[in-house]
Amino acid sequence: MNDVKHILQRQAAWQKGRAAFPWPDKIRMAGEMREAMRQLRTSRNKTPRSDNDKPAEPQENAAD
Amino acid sequence: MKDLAQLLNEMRAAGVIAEYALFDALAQMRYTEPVATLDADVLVRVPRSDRLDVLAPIYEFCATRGYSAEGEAIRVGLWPVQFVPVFNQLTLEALQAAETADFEGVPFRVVRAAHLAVIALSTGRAKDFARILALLESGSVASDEIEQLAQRHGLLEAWKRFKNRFLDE
Repeated sequence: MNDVKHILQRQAAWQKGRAAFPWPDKIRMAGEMREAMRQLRTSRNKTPRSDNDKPAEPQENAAD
Repeated sequence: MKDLAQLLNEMRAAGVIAEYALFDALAQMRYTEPVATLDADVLVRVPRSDRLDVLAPIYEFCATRGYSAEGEAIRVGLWPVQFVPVFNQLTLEALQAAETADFEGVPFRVVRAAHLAVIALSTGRAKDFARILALLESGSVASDEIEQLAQRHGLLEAWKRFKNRFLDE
């Protein structure tokens, strides 16, 4: 349990450390995240896994 | 994003807009770690806000520069850009008090942390609350500063509810 807590603490510290990156770099990262989200949504809409698993409707404003 | 900064500066110089400032998630990232977002949001003040098609001159200017509309946004490089005319005293003040940041050598006006937090408070979705917490945690704005600004814009009760829910233990 302590190991898990330690890992989570390290992960949180690493994530917070990204706040110190230059703003243009952070915007580039956000652009990459945006592209990944877009591709994920596109692939989910194209490949229903079963008859009961219809393609999701695009959610344009899920994040802004 | 540098393209967007240049486009907005040109738009202002041409008198298409009186002022602009980046806000929401991309502005927040000046102070916090990167966050997921789908678009870039820009507050604008236009010279003639009495027009019905208040954004038409902006869209026309973008078209002359080769940037086309994509739904309700204009695609500039990677980002769909949403232009949001100032819609109340809070957003007007946020625009007026915005800082000019340096984006790889290009001046880029950006809404300050305190106004970002109070605009998020006024919107009140879960992700807006997360934005306020991220700004507080970054140390870019103090709780007292948010409270004073919230009070000035009739959002003191919303701030107290936020504090009770997320900050008071």
